[in-house]
Amino acid sequence: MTLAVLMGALAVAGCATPDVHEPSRTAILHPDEEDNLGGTFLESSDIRTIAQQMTGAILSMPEVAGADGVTRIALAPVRNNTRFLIDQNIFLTRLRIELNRVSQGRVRFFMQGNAQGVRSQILQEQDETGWEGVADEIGAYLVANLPSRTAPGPARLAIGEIGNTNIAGMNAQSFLAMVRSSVAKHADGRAAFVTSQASQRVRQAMTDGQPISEMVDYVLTGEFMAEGIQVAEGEQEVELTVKQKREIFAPTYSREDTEEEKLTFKRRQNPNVTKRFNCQLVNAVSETVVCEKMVSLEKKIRSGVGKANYILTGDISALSKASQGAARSDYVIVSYQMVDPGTNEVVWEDAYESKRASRVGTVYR
Amino acid sequence: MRDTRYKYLMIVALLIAVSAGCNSVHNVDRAQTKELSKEGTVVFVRPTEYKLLGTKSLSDYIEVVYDQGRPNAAGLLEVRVGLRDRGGQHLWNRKGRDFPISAKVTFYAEPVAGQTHRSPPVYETNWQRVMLVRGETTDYKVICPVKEGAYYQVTLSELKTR
Repeated sequence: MTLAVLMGALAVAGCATPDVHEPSRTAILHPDEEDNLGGTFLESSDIRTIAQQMTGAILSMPEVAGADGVTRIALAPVRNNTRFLIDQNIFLTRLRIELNRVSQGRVRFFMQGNAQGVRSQILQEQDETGWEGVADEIGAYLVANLPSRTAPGPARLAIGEIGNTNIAGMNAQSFLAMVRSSVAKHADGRAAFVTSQASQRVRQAMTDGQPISEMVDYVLTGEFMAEGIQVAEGEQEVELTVKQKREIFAPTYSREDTEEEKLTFKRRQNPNVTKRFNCQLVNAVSETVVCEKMVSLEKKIRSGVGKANYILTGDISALSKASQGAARSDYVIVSYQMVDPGTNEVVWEDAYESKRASRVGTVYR
Repeated sequence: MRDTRYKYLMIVALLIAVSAGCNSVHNVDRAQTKELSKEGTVVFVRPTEYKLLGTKSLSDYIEVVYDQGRPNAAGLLEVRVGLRDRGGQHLWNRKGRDFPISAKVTFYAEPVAGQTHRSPPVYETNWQRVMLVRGETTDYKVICPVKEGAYYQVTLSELKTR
């Protein structure tokens, strides 16, 4: 009998009720659940609902639904006109996430702000790794177009002056050394460079207006060019103000301490423009350009927004009421617009509205 | 003798019950196909509170005026459900009130209503707040942003609160 009771108790234990108690003092909520902290502004469920509804509306736009290919959208920050100090980017971020999830590549966004430092580094490194190929391309071209000689022995080549080296902070001599190496490789005995000291004398003679035909047959020279109208300067003094914000919280208040530090440093200007190099082979007798070749050295690093079909932006506005004590009411409207960058026309607009009242004062961040 | 046999039988039965309870995993019940097939395109989640007489369910106050799903001009399924707050429905509450509910739409590539089997959804919305005003029909509209969405089920529930 005792055994049966014991077994019965074990059997009951086997059919235990589910343990739905919170594992800690932190409650786990679904993002669509309303918490019990009060507040009259938009909740996480509203932000998700806005994103869901606007996604359906944007993908139903005739301009997007009827587009032949991908619709590219640039983002402009949502303007916060309310009394709430919140991260207004959360609205565009959640909307972008939803559109990227479901649009199956029909819409594309540009990464604006984030990851641009690394992107710039990658593009610069890709350009740098391409210089060897560019130098080789120039060398092969110059040798192929080198006039045939009647005199015995290889043609004598000197390195001349390089123009506009300051426009991009380019190391012209290093690049021309690569070109020289390539010319020597492709020449196969048809051309030979004089020493750097001889090249120095040739440059001096050219500056003084002296004939150089006795010294060399050709002069390898060139010019850097920037595709831009921005005037390049040498060194530039830059001031940077660093702000360090510290938040102090206490049970009943919070405040911010801000420390500022001003840093001054010098940097060489490197305008973000497409940079080209025009390489020329000059005949020392006639002082005419025998052949020339222009190559692209650095491409302008573009943000990509120039290809945007539309700008997606918006604003948050509110009508706020407060009475004595902590009683508050807020009517909030979140509106989004799609703007044609060419015509500045608003091609689409939609909004989400919310009104809440509370007797509890809540701080949003 | 009979008592001893009865005792052993009981022990064996209890051992079976205990051994089932001690399994580290066990099968979870499958949804009843008959019950699934009874579900329509608009369903209400069973309320959490019951009274001895009747329920406190908000579904008592709601009626579906229309329920349609059609492709819009962009070819995306647009679901529109007319939800009317029909006011007081009980002797003890004849006036009724305005109240918010939560609504969610799940979109499928295959038919749902009346079907015994269900495929995974191609898209589902979050739980969205819908405010119902007494006597008024609220037009709850949702567009499925995924082109594959051809069938739907709207689930209504009391407001998701902590």
